[in-house]
Amino acid sequence: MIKTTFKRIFLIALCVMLPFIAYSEDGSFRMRAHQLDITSDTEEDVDAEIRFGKTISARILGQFPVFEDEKLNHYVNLVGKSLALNSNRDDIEFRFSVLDAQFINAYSAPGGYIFITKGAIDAMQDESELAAVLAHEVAHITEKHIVKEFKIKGTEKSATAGVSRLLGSSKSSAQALFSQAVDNAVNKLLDKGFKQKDELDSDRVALLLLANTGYDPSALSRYLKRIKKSTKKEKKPKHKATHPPTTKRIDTLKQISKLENLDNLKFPKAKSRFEQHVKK
Amino acid sequence: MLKNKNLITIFFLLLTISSHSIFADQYHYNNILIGNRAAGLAGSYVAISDDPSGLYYNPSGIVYAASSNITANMNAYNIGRTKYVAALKTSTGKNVDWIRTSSALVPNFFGITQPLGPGTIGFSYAITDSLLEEQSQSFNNILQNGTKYTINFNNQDVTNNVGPSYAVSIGDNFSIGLTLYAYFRTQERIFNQIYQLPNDGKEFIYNAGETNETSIEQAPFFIANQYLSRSEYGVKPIFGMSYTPFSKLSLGLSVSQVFLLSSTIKQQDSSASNICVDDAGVRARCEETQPAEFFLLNQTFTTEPSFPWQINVGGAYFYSNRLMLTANAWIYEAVNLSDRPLVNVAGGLEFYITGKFAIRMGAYTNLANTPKLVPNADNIHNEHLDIIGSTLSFTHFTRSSAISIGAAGTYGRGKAQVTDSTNIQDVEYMGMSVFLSASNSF
Repeated sequence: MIKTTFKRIFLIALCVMLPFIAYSEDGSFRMRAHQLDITSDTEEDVDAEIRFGKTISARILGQFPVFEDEKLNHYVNLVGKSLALNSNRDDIEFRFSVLDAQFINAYSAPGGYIFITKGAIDAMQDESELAAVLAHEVAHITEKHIVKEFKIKGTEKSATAGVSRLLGSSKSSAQALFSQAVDNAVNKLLDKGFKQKDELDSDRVALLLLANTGYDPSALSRYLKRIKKSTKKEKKPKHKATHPPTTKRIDTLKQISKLENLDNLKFPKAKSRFEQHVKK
Repeated sequence: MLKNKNLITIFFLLLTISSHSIFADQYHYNNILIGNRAAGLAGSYVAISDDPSGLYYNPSGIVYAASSNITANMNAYNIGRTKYVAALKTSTGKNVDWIRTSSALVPNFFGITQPLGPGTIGFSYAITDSLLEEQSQSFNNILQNGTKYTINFNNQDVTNNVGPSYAVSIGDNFSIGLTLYAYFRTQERIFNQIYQLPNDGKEFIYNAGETNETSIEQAPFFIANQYLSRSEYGVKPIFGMSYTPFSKLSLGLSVSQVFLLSSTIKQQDSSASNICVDDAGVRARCEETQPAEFFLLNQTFTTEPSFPWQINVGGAYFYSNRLMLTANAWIYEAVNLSDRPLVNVAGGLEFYITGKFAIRMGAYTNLANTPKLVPNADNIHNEHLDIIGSTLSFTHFTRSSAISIGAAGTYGRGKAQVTDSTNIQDVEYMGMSVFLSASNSF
């Protein structure tokens, strides 16, 4: 009798909650006042971001060696750093490297580490296209897509945080979690790719960055259209599964260009300078 | 010869039953508050559960954690005092209280959560019950003038739960989670009692016929000792659900039970006395030629205690990002000791004074799972002590950490039978826990 009553209470409670499953709630009401107080990054956060990005970069370079052409790497760095000067991240130093790989791709790790494959450069026709791809990667870093997703934060130096770590036995836990986060981030960059939302966000920022630096803003669309044609017959890379379709990216770029009044800008493509530095 | 032979018989009974009537607090289900935020809210946490202590209260809640990776740790210092009013009576008719104290520093929770696949994985270690009970008392003139009765009692009883959890969201406002705890309880109890009667001048001969034969005057006495060691192993799954029927309101439900795999008790009872029993079964002073009586019993046996199904249900109303109210009810199935389900309740309030300081307070019940006592010559009843408690804690936050300090005060009143089956004593309990806890996010 009592057991039946007990089971009945459980079943009634279960039935009461089921109809509510369809209701959608973002859960923001759970945020407490101390969580709302977190606003800007601290120096420790930036240090953590750089340390995280450096570890990821080492993993990437473990898979793909740097393309042995000092002049090309220097040139890519000059183009990249000119873009970085116009970004909102003056707290980190951007570094650009060409990877010795023939497929078309580019990667960015937190802290300012950007890689582009030789294959991607070979598919370009001018410097504005190189700047466009680099600007897209710079945007992933300025918008902190990886940092936000993996919630990379610095170690606090306050007395409260110190005592808290001591009581919470958190040092070894933090180290283990850091290693796991690096594994997941490398997997994301090399395999899964960024979220569609983040890719479109980076395209938008890249477009503005190109225009602010003085490159032809249509370069990104041109490049995407070209690689779309060239990769049509190739096997679809695995990470593309999560990327937005190239057509959607091109359409979105068109909309942003119109919205930001970038359509009629006659900024240089720097084709001849590109051809001087890049041997195909 | 003693004036009253029956006195000895009565006291033997006292020695026997008192050793069984009071020990580990198995008569309550809500003995220790777990977790940083949860303890401040008097354990009313099933509808929140969004930090590692949620792995214990309702594992489904950890999917709502604000940070991906969190660790939490809690240490508590518990003190308690139980007074059995007028448990003993002196020869002059004066009532004497029986007092037991308990104190223990318990690192009682550690937990960690982090995202894994589509959900959140966690691991936690929780001490859900811990007792370090002591009694060291001497009483004069119990039952007869000139007697001295001494008790030395020590009882350590700890219940541990350790294991993994996993929780996933199903839609935006519903989540489920499961914690699979390995359950183990260890108890070690030592109970020494000495009853000394007035010296009757009788001499006993030792080493009779030997060269070192001696004659020593010895007062009548009883010494009894009991040692008990208990080990229980089992599994305790906790299945939880959280849902949000509408904005600002969160509801939670968890169901759990301990499934016992093994339970062993090793017990040693010994006693010694120079009061002998004659052929007619009458206790009398041993003759000079008789040695003191000695009794020793070693036994190991298995038990099959039943654990109740437990439903933990509650709601939390997030009025604003500064104020939150929560209420909770624990419903326990009737098992062994009681004939009806037991319900404990709790309520809590959280208020942020600033963005860096929060105050939490709450109240809860910890009712006895035993039936109310009635005098019955055939049985000795388990004590029935209903306890209520209140909590207060302060938390200081930084960007990635929080430290809480808090206290819980408890008070209870009830009835018990500590000496014989006909007399019922009033019991009063007062306890205090001070806890210090910390959490970090990465």
